[in-house]
Order: sequence, then C-alpha cells, then structure tokens
Amino acid sequence: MADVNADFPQNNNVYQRWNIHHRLVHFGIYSMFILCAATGLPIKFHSKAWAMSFAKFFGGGDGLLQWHLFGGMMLFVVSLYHLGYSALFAIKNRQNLEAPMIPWSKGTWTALKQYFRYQLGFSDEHPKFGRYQWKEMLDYWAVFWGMAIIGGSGLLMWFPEFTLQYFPKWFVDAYRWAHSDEAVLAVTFIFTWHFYNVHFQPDFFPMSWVWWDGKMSKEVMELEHGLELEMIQEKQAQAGQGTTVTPTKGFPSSG
Amino acid sequence: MGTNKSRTTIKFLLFLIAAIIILAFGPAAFAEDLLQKSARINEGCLRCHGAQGLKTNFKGDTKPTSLYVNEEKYLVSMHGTMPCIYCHTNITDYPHVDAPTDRKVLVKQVNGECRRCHKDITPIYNNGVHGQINKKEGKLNAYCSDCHGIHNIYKKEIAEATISHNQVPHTCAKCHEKIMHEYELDFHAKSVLLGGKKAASCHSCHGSHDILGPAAEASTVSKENTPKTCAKCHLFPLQNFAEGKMHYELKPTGDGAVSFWTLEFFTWLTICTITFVLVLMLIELRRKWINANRPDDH
Repeated sequence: MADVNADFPQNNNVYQRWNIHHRLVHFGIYSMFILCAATGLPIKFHSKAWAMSFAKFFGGGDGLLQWHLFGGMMLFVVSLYHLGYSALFAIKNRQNLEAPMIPWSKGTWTALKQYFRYQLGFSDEHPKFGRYQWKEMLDYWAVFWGMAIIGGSGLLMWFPEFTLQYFPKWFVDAYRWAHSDEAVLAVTFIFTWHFYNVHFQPDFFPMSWVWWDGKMSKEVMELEHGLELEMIQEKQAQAGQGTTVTPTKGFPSSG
Repeated sequence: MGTNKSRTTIKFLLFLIAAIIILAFGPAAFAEDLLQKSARINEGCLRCHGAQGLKTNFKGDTKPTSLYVNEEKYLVSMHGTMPCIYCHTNITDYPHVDAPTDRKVLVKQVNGECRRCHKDITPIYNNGVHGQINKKEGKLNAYCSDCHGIHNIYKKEIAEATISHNQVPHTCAKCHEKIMHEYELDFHAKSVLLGGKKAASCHSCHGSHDILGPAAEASTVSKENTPKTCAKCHLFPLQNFAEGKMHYELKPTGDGAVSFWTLEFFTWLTICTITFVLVLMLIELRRKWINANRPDDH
C-alpha cells in the first residue's frame, strides 16, 4: 500500500485531493507568509508613507520586528511539521514508496511536453497530469528555496552575536539584501503566478476550493490531473465500480 | 500669673506659625511673580513675533528669514517659562537698536548664552568635535541650536524633540546627508525611522555632546572601542563588529560591493521569473480563448 490516494474516500464525482495535514500546512504557510510580507515589506520600503501606517498598525518599528519574527518562527514550525509527517510516511511505506512531488516521478516529463505542445497550439491533445502538475512542483520546491534563502538569512540576522563570530559584516549586509529581495520575488511570484493558477484563471475563478475542503470534482480532475484520475478509476474498477473506498486508519499521505 | 505666662507662650507660638507660613510660602509667591513677569514680557514680544509673516533680511542674505515664533510650541518647550530676553540679551526695548543684523553674529551670541545656565555640559561639548571651531566657515562645527532647535527645545523623551530617539537621524542629516543615506540601508535605521525605540539611533553609537571623529582613539566608534559600543545592546563585544564599514555605499566596488551584486542578482532573478510566468499566463489565456471560440468545444 503506497498509493497516496488509498486513504481517501473517493467516489465517481468528487475526489478527496488533500487531507487535513495538507490543508493545515497550506494554511500555516500562507497565513504566516502574509504576516511576514505585511511586516517585512514596510521594513524594506521604510521611507514610503504606507510603510509608516503599516508600522503604526503593528506597533512601531519594534512591534513590526516582533510580529515578523513570530511569523518567521511559525513558518519554520509549519515546515518542520510537513517534513516530519512526510518522513513518517516515507518510513512507513518504504517497501513501495511513491513520491509524486519528485520532479522525475512518473509521467511528469510526458505531461510537460504535452503541456507546451497544447498551449502553443501544436497539438489539440490536452496534457494528462499525474497527481502533481509541473506548476505545483514549481510552487512546492520554490518554498524550499525560499525557506533556505529567507529562513537561513533570517536566522543569521536574528542572532547577530552568533553570526558575527563566524562571518564578517559585509556577509551579513549582503545576506540582508538577499533576504528582502528574495522576499519581494516570493511575494510577486505568489500574487501573479499562484493567484493566476488557483484564483484568476477562468476554470477556477473565484478560486479552487481544494485548500479549504480538499475536494476536487471529476471535471476539474480530468483537466488538471488526467493521469491520476485514470489511475484512481483503474483501482476503483478492481474494487467494484461506484463503491466508496473506506479510509484505512494508517498515517495519511504526505503527497 | 499662670494665665499671663501662657498668653505669652500662645503669642509666641502664633508668631512662630505666622513666620513659618511667610517663610514657607513667601518665596513661592515671589516665584509666581517671576512667572507672571516672564509671561508679561513674552506677551509683549509675541505681539509682533507671534505674527506668521514677520520677516527680516540679514546682512548678506538673499532670502528673508522668518522672525515668527510659534507661541503654542514655545510655551510648552523647555524654556517656555523664561522671558525671551534671557537668551536675546541685547534686546531691551523697542525699536531693537542693539539687535544683531548679521545672522552669524546672532547665532553666535544666542548660543553663547546657553553656557550661562548649562555649565555642566559646556566643557564636554567644548571637547567634542562639534564644539571645535571650523576654520573654513569661521564658526563652531555645530552650535547648540543646530541639534536642539531654537524655540522648540524639548526633552529627548518628547516625540517632537529634535533630539528624540526617532528624530535624531533627521536632525543629524541636516549636515550629514551622505551618511544618512548610507545609514538608511541598515536595519537599525529602518527600525528607528519607523518608530522603534530599541534599535540604535545615531547618538546610541556616536554619543551626543562628547562626539569625537572616527579617527580619534577615544571615540566610541574607533576601531578599538567599536566592539564595546556595540555590546551596549549586543550581548558581548565581538572583534568582527569592528571589521568592515558600518555605513557602506551600494556601489559595484568598495565596502558595499557584495551587497550591490546580491541586489543586482535578485533583481534580475525577479524580473526573469515574473516575465516568464506572465508570458506563460498569456499563452494559456490565448489557448483558452481559442478553445472558447470553437463551436464544437465546450
């Protein structure tokens, strides 16, 4: 048993895509991301008038930093939670492990080629994505990159007494630029790319509700995760058409 | 007899009480009179100087200087209870025959009067770099009023004071503009300018009346003393606190070079990434548009 969907009660019309852990991690990441952006951007652009009103809201320069540190700390907690249950899942299913988030997992490359041929108009065949599209992989691994750059430099800045024992000051200065500039990249990336993909694109507007109840309809599954849908249907055909698979009590999937 | 004796005692006691009352409250009544006197004098001055349009042309100046004094701000300032003539000593009557017509002379004269009362700080200030004579301009490097203000002198705890923790960078920037731009790149500056009380303002490291140049050995920011100065806030003195420049310029060479190229790298990374995803969005929307216009497609 290492099929990531085995724990979910799937039926023929609505598919359970995200379990409670997925949703909790997404909630933790996005709420703390917004908090960090709202308290961090005024620090980067301190001379602007809006920065001053943000600072007043969060209790001046000191309050701004306190909330920013809280947000950063919570991002670490959420990330460790995600890594923790992913590791548990991997250990539990080590005999027959599937990790569809890995970029070289089955079907990624084919679907990527299909995607570009379809979007550029060379082919009318809609791409068949597996459990995760290349877009979702990009967003997912971007968080790792962001946590390394922003989180790492954040820790170095939080504890200058530690940092300056090992690094000269120019290194810390440069790291601060990396921290805030990578943050600006992350904010613009999320509010253009991610918001287009899950909010503004016509298939989903006003939004894809997967983040809220974890459910996705069959129609959307066909468009967005065609290959995964086929695999689920194959499994359901073996189990008997139309029956709902009872969730087992194992540790939920990490995805 | 006994009654006479007790009467004398009572008289004596009454006299004593009266004497105590007079001695205790007499000076207070006198001080009250000084306040009233001060208010009366200032009222006379402010009859003209409370008008916003009052100006004069100092000798050699091309632009007129305002002689307006904001009464509300002055009355709540540190010197608000003092008569104007305490500092403007050469003005005794109207018309002001002895009033200086040269700006430099006026500034020098009024700032000289500070020493009459602030005797404790004078020797410290004289020793600092701001108390030295600037040979090129023929005046002190910074007069008291350059930092503390004129008719708007407040305690440093008052937010509006030119010497309050959050106002100090703006006050210093009146002369040290270039350093201010470099300071603004720093996190200490960002916190202070956004109203933070914990991060270091200019005076936190450089001191106030006793400021010495960075070249001086006894300076709080000399190579030797910098770690100790940082350790006022940061747990322990580290030699690395003194390595490299605190205020750096964001330029391709020099102290800020690594920061400059880091900024450059991430700016282009952002531009490329966002351009890439915007183009992808347009391509996707174009495909959806084509699909929507096909009669056989949904």
